[in-house]
Order: sequence, then structure tokens, then C-alpha cells
Amino acid sequence: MARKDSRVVDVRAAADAKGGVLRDAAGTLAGMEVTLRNMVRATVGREHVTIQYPEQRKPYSRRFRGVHVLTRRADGTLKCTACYLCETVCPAQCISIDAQEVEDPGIEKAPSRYEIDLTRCIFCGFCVEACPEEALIMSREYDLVSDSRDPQALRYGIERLTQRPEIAAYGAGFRPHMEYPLVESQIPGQEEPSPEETR
Amino acid sequence: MPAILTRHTDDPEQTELDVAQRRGAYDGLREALSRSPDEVIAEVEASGLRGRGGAGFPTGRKWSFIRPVPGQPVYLLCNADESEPGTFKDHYLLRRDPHLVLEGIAIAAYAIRAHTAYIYMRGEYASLAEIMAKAIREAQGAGILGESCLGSGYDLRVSIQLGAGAYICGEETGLIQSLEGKRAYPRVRPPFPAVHGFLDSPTVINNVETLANLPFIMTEGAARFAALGTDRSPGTKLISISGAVARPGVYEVEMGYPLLELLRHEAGGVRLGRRLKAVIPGGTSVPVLTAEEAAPVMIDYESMQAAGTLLGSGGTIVFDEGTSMPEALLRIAEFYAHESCGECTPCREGTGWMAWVLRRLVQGEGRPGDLDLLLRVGHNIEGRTICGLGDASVQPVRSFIQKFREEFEALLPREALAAPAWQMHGHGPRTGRFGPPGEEAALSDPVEGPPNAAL
Amino acid sequence: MPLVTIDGRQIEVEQGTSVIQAADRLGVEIPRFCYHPDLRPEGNCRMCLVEVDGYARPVVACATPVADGMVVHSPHESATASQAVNGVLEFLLVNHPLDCPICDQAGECSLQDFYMHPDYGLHESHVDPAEKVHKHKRVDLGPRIVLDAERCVMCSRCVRFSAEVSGYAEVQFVRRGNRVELVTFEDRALEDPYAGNLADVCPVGALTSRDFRFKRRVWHLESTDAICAGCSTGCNVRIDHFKGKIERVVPRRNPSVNRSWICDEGRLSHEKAQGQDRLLHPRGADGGELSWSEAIARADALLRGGRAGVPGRALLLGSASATNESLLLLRRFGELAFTQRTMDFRLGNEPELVDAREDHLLRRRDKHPNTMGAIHLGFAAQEGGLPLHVRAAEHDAYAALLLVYHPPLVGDESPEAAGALERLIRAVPASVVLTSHRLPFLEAATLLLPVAAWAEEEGTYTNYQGAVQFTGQALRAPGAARSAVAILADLLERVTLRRPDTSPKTLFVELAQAVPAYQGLSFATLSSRSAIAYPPEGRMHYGQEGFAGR
Repeated sequence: MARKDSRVVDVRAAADAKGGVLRDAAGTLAGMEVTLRNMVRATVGREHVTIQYPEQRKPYSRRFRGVHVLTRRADGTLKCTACYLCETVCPAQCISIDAQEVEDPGIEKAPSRYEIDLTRCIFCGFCVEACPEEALIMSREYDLVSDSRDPQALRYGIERLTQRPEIAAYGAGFRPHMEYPLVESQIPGQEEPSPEETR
Repeated sequence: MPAILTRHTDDPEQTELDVAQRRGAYDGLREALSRSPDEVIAEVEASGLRGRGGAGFPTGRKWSFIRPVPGQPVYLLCNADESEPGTFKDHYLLRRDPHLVLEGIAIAAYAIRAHTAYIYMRGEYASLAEIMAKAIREAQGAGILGESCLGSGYDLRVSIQLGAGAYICGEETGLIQSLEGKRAYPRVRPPFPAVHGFLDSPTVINNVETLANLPFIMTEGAARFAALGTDRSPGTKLISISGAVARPGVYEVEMGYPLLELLRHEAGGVRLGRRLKAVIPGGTSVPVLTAEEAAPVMIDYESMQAAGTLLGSGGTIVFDEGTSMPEALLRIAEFYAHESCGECTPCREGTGWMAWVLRRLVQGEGRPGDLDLLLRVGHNIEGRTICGLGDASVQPVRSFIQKFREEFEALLPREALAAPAWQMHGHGPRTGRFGPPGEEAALSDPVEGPPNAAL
Repeated sequence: MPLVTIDGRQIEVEQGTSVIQAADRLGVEIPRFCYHPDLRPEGNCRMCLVEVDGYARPVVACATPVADGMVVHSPHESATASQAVNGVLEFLLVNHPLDCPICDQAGECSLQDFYMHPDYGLHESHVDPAEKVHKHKRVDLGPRIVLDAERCVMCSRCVRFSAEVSGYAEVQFVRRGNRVELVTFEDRALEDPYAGNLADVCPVGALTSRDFRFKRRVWHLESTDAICAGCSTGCNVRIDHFKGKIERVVPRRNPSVNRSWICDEGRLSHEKAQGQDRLLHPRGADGGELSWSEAIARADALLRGGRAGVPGRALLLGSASATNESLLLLRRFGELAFTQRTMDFRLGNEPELVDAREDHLLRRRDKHPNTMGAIHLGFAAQEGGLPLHVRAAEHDAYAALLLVYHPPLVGDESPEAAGALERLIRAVPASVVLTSHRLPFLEAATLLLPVAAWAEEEGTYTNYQGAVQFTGQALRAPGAARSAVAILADLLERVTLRRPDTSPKTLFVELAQAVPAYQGLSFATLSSRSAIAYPPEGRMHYGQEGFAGR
């Protein structure tokens, strides 16, 4: 998503330009410029400044750091080799992994358990950057809620990290290592982003 | 031309003991046994005989390093592994005059006070081993070897051991390991074999040709031997000529004989009337000479060294104008990659890497910087290995590329020549201590200069 | 003695010392793969190249003996050596696979460490990963070891360990050049009872431990220095643990005890110590769980008959697997609480076996870590031993029994000892048993108190040589189990009305005062937690013939 042009208002400069009561009022008004402008747009111009969330949603950047996705190979197995680099780099210590041996001699190692405690996650994306295999990426899913007080509710295991309906609904997000070809069929929303979007 | 080693080799009957003895075989041993071992060593030292295996180390001096320890045996090992590519002179001697070699072994063993000698022969020489074994049986039967050689009271047991065909078994400590029944991994020196050799005992390892010179020195005297050849390279040398000549074969020449003369006359000149392109004068482990460089070279240690190469084993390989030098070098590099024993890192990985790069070069898939990469890999092997195989593998690579660089560059794809190395590899500009290509020169040994200084 | 200068620092070393040994002593780091302080130098990796003044070429520090006046420049200060070492490192990486994410060695791998070193690493790769030579991966070499031949740097440490140290000579190289591969004869499984050391000596990820395979990345591990409790040798080990679970046990170098090795049984002994069947709560004869305050009160009442006085003779059986500190408190409790008492620790013939070898390398037949400590603390009167006590108990000689019991971590308790213990417990009217594990032959005890097992308490063990060694606490004891020292301190408090100071330092000072052989030892000598302290010469042994004169 292209960066939106926004006007920067220097409140102090605006205030300094005037004097007396007017000066104070001008300072306040200058600070409320955006609000007032939108008020006028909404009331006079009958233009909707806000949207009807959650029925309406704004598009998010493909670099958006939403809830994680564990990617899979063409044969359906996890790409993750349980190297623990994401767990190591995670500043919130919300990832925990157990590894196991797998039969495939070209792979050797895979996670038997992979959990992200999303109540602790700060969505910094370090885990995705650390991943040498692009086995972990982020989606654009942002409204992460639970209607249960169960501490496990937002503790996502392999199952939910690979195949929850939200992945298809929101599409893939933060994916810093574009040079690794991704198995596109596994993750919807992978239409090639334009170059300025990946910068 | 005077002959020491090949006087009787033309006669197939020479392998028979009685025939050989009629021509004076074992007279030298008789002479040696009549003197003390130290006198024999002194005589050989006076003759100036130098090792014919490749290094050219004075034989008498090598023997004098042996300090017998009471209760510990001394061993003489005859190196008949002859695995240097282009070399087949020992094969000739062993086949044509086994008693000459055997007599030399006995003289050397007596000089160093060894009572056991082994002939370590490469596995491919199985047929020669039979000839040699017959010679040993005959000599023992005639009382020449075995208990009380020629009635002198000196005992000597000579045995033959066949290798399994590995270049590294020709390296003296590799040979010792192999003889001990171990994997032929060369040993780190010191300790040297003269102190801790075969079965941890003092050991001398001599080349077949070196030993074959001894009977002459004993019968004719050191002075007559020294009179042959040049001052510092006395005697004669067996030269095995192969490649693009009309008459390849083994030739005995007096030291100091012009190299091209030998090729032109004795060997019949370059085949099919073509022009000479290059000569490897001492086996593939020595630098190659271009035709121009070869013109003034004489067959002796000093002249070869002055020309920037080595006499080595005397395995002379001739290249005519039709030879592709990169392909020839690839063949040589593949030999070293195949024969590297794999013990120490630089040679194990470096020889394979050089061969790999040369292969893609010859196949037209060369990359920018490949020639410098080869030189750099060579520089990193040289002088950092346990034995000489590493150094040996570098000599041809460096000399071929230095002397025939245009031929190698012609193989590089056009775009590879233009682009800087890092662009083609898909990496960013290199940083760090060993990073940019230009920095290597500053980091390499200031005395030796950068590996590609001569380019 | 030759005086050698390395990177401008001088050191005098014995004749025959190699340059690398002198550098190690000076603390000058020289990179190496094939050199190992407890194996014969081979000089094949060429990684320890150094520049020596007067030498034309760099030489290998591991196989070059020092000479007087030698001036050595390590790759840290010499550009020549640095360039040479970098060249070797580049060669080692030419055919090394890009396996680090799934390699157990990652994080403690010499190749990684050296490559990341600013003085001789960090070169740009000139090799396309597609060009690398491929060899066998994930080869099973028996129950202990997994081989990945591609990761091997051919340093031959494993070959030399197998041939020179364990003597099994089961691994060897085949083929030549860059196709060299490590194999076992006919791909047979390793039979070596010391095979686990192959993974330890391997500087890279070629030989990795089957037991530790994929368990945890090494940088997550916490480490505690300890002494193996598998037998009387007292091998120095390091316990690597994560979140209260032991992930592996590896040897710690101690040239005078175990050099750099441990046996596989010792390596795996933690599986038994921290295994199933642990006693988790104090338990009365009725099988009901007790709180610790109830349990201590009941133990006191059982052993001393409350305030009414001592009903008869008490038998205090220590354990040769208990720390010196807990034995000291046990002894003090016995001395203060009972006028009539018998103290012993022998379940079999430990004092005779303590020095008996099981093999040529490390293992000993006495499977207790602290037999010598128990002897030094006076737990073995001339007359004694378990069978004698059983007979005495069956003739009502003992009114109370206090037993400290740890099962052997290598092998099982002998049936004779187990049977005798059961008879003893049944024969004595009041028996208080401190045990780490639930064992059928202890079930009849009047009171069972859960005690910390190996790695769950700190203290000292005295090995067969008389070396007093400190073993650390890596884990918390499971359930309500407490260290023997804490339990005995509680019991002592009942007697003296003052709880003794149970800090390891205080206890060790008291130990050093109480045991004549330990006089002169101080906690400082132990508290480096890796050093061992021998008692002064001539005083280290129990006055039996079998132990004297060593």
C-alpha cells in the first residue's frame, strides 16, 4: 500500500505567529485542524470518513505482520526443520518447539510440537526474518480475539498455524525472504506484489 | 655415451644370475664387503651420488644420518613404487637387470648396517615382482644374499612387498605406513625416518635407480663416477620419455646432456614433424617448460633449477603444438585429486577443488576469476601439507596457467572475462579481512609475493 | 627448560612441549581440529598453522616441539599465519554441507566458531553449494552415535580415540582425496562401552550423540559441573539441562581422574537418577502422605522415643552414594542423639572393591561415588557389614534404624543386599528410611522420607584415589523431596534445638576439621567447582593395607 500523503502541522509555529487570546485559540484550532476538516467533510460533504468495521475492512499491506503461518511443502509436510532459530530470536519468548526425527533422509528433522503463545507475541517479525527456510511467514490476519479465558485459546499449535480459515481470508503478509520460492498453492493471496510493496 | 645402468639391459638373458655374474654382477658387493660400512659410506659420499627418486638429496649424507641404537634394527627400504606420472625408468631396470638393483640394495644395506631390506613395489608391477623374487631366490641360493653374504659373515634378508597402487605410497613415510600394514597416511616430520622410520627404527629409503648406481661406484671407484656428468650432478640419469616423440622410451644420458638434443636425436624428434610446444622434464610434479625455455636446459639438477623447474624423477613428457594445455592440465589435476590420500586438509580439498574448476573451464563453463581462483587455491595448498603431494599438485597448475594463460582465457565464456567476480557469483562486493580480490596481494607473504605476482 | 615467546608473551616449558601446548598454557588461542590434549598429535587438519621466526613456511603448532628462544606468531598477530589458517578453513568448508539448522553441533561447532573469528575467518565463499561432494548422511553407528560423513573434517580424533584410548578401534577412514569417509568395519554398530566419547571429541557435527539428538539447541542449555555418581572413579562431568530436565551429561577434562572421557553407563546414569519410581512425599507405615513437619516429628519420635529417652541401640546406615556433607550430619546426629549407636555404610564389600577396575580405562566395580568418603568419615568399623547387622537385628539388638539409601545409578542393587535390607527393616521396630526412589525392599519401613537424588543436591564425593571433588546441583528435587543435608539438619535441630548451618562452605569447613585426612583442604580449592583437591600426601587413605602406598 502506497504511503498516504499527510500534512504535518507545526503547532508551535502556528501559535507563535499570533498573539494574546487569539494566539491561544489559534494554537488549539491549529491542533484540531484535521478533526475539524473531517467534521466538515462528514457533515457538509456527507462523505464517510470512518468505515463500518467489522463488516467493512480496510486493505492491509502485504508486509503486514499478522498472525503467523507455518508453510508446507508440495507434499503437505511442514517446511519447518525445527532449527529453533525463531525460538532463539524471539524477544517475547513466545515460541516453543520440540523436534523429532523424520524418515525422509533429505530432511531428517521436523517439529513434533510447534507453539506460538499469541498472548505474548509482539508481532515483531524477527522469527520470520530468522527462518532460513521460509517455513514461517506472517499473514495479514490482525483481529486476534478469543471468547474464552482458556490460556490455551491463543496458544496456536501446528494445526492452527498451518490451516485455519483465516489464512485464506486474510492472505499472506510479512515475507522478507522472497528469493525462496514458496509453494503458492499452500497460501492464498500470493499474487505477486508490486516491487514498491515489497521494499 | 657412457652407460652405468643400462650396460647390459639389452640382453634378455641378463636376468639370469650366471649371465649377470659373468658380466661382473656382485663384484661391487664383494668389494663393499671387503671394506667397513663407514668406508662404503665415505666412498659413496665422495662419488657425489644424489638421490634419483626426485629430490636429489646426496645419498651418502642420507646414510650418514643413521645412528644405530644398540638392540634396535636398521632397515633399508628400496622404493620401487615409481608412481610419478611419466616415469618408468625403475620398471626398465627391474625388468632388465634385477641383479644390478639387488646388488645395490645389498651394498646400501651393508653400509647402513641393516640386516633386513624391503623392496616396496607398486601393485601394478606384479610381473616384475616375480622377476625380482626369482633374482632374490637365485642370489640366496648362490650364497650371495641371506646368511653370511658371499661368505663375509654379514647377513641380509631381502623381501618384496607389493603395494595396492596408490601414488602416496611412493612418499617415503607413506611407504613406511603402507609397509607396516597401515593406511598410507604420510607422517608428520620430525621425527624423520632416519630416527623413527619403519617399525619405529632407523630407516633409509632409496630409489631403485639410486641403488643401481652403487655397484659401479664400488667397482670403478668414486672418482670415475664423479668424473661423469657435471661437477654438482655427477653420473648418469635415466630419462623416461613419453608423449609426442617419435621414439618414446628409457634413455640413459650423462648429466649435463642438453634436453632438446636428447629429444631431437635419441628420441627421434617430435612426432609427425610437428613443432615442440612444451616439455615437463621431471614428472608431472615439476613445472612445465615452454619450447623456448627448454632450449638452453641441460639434464642436471642445477640447470633445471636455473630454468625454474626440477630434474625430478626424469619422467619427461613432451607436448606438441596440437596439445590443448588446459586439457593436459585437467588430466594432471585429476590425477592428483584422485591420488591425494585425504589425510591433511589443504591437499584433500584443494586438489579436488582445482580439478573441479579446471573441469568446468575445459567444458566451457568457466567463471570469471577462475584462473585466479586456481592460483589462489594452489597458493593455499603449497607449503601447508604434511607431505610433498600437495606441493607437487600445485606446480603443474601454476606453471601451466602462467605460461599458457591465453589458452586458458580463451576457454572462458566471453561475459565471464568482462564482469568482476562478485557480480557473476550473485554476491555483493566482498568485505571483511579476506574479502575483495585486490586485498589478497597485500595479505600474502611479502617475501614470496602474491601468488600471481609473475602474471 | 626452553623459553618460548608466543605473540610477545614468554613462557618456560618442559622440553618436548609442543607449541600449541605452550600457547594453551599462555592462553593464546590457536584454532585446531585434530589436536586433542588427551590424544596423540597427528597434524592433519593444518588449522593450527603459526609463523615461527626463522622458518620459511608456517608450521603446525600441534606437532612442532618448542625450542629455546623460539618466537612464535599466532594467526591473531601474524598476517602470514592468519592467511594460511584462513586458507585451510576455506578448504574445510569447500565440501561442508549447509546443515547448520538441523545439526546438533551448531552452537558448539569449531567450524562455526573459527569461521566467525575476525582474525582468520569470515571469507567469502567461492563454492556453489551444488558443487559439493556428497557422502553418506545419518548413518546409524549403534545405539549411541549417529554419523554424518559429509560434515566430517577428517581430523581423525575419533579414529585415534577408538584405537588409542578405548582400544576397540572400530572406526576408520576409507577412500582417498575429498572422497574420504569415516566408516565402521562392514558398517557394524559400535560396541565400545565408551562410544559416547566419539561425539564429544568430534569438533564438528559428524558424530553426534543419539541420546541428545534433536533434543535441544545447545545455546538453550544451562550447565552445571558435577561428579559422576556411577562408580568410585568420580569422573568429572558437566550436566547440561533445560527447564529442570537433564538433556545430556558430557565429560569435563580432569587429567588426573578421567582425562577427557566418561563411560556410556555414567553418561546415561541420570536417566535412572531422574527416572520413574521416585519417592515424592514423606510416607508413613500406613502409606499415608505426610507433611514435612509431621514427618520430621514422627522420625524424631521413632528414633529417639520422644522425650522419654533412648529405648536401646540405634543403627545408622549411611550410604556410599551420599555426599560427605550428609554423611557428616548423619554421623553428628548419631553421636548427639544416641548413647548407644552403631554406624556403618556397607551393603556389600565396597571397601574391597573401591579400587578394583572393571576395565582398563575408567570403570570400577564399586558402583558408589563416595565409598572412600564414608570410610574417611568413620562409617566402617572393623566389625560390620550388612549381614552382621541383619543377624544382630533379628536378635533384637537394635531399637531404631536410620537408613540413607540411594540406588546405584549403574546396574541394580545386588539381590543379596536388597534382601538383607528388607530383612533388616522388618527386624528393627522403628525404621526411618531416607530414599530417593520407591523400592520394594524398602516398603516395610515405618517412615519413608524422599531425598534428593544425584544432580539434585550439591556436596562433595571422595573418589577411589582419595580426591575430594565438588558436585553441583543442576535440578530441583521432584515433589517434596529434599536434600539429605536438609532432612538431617531438621533431625539435628530436634536434638540440639539449633539448626546447623547447612551452607556448603560451612559444612565443608566442618568436614575438613572432622576428618583427619582432609585437614588442610579448604572450600576455596573446591569452589572453583572444577578443580579437584587431593588431601595432603600420605594422609589421604584409610589405614587399610589395600589403600596404602598409592
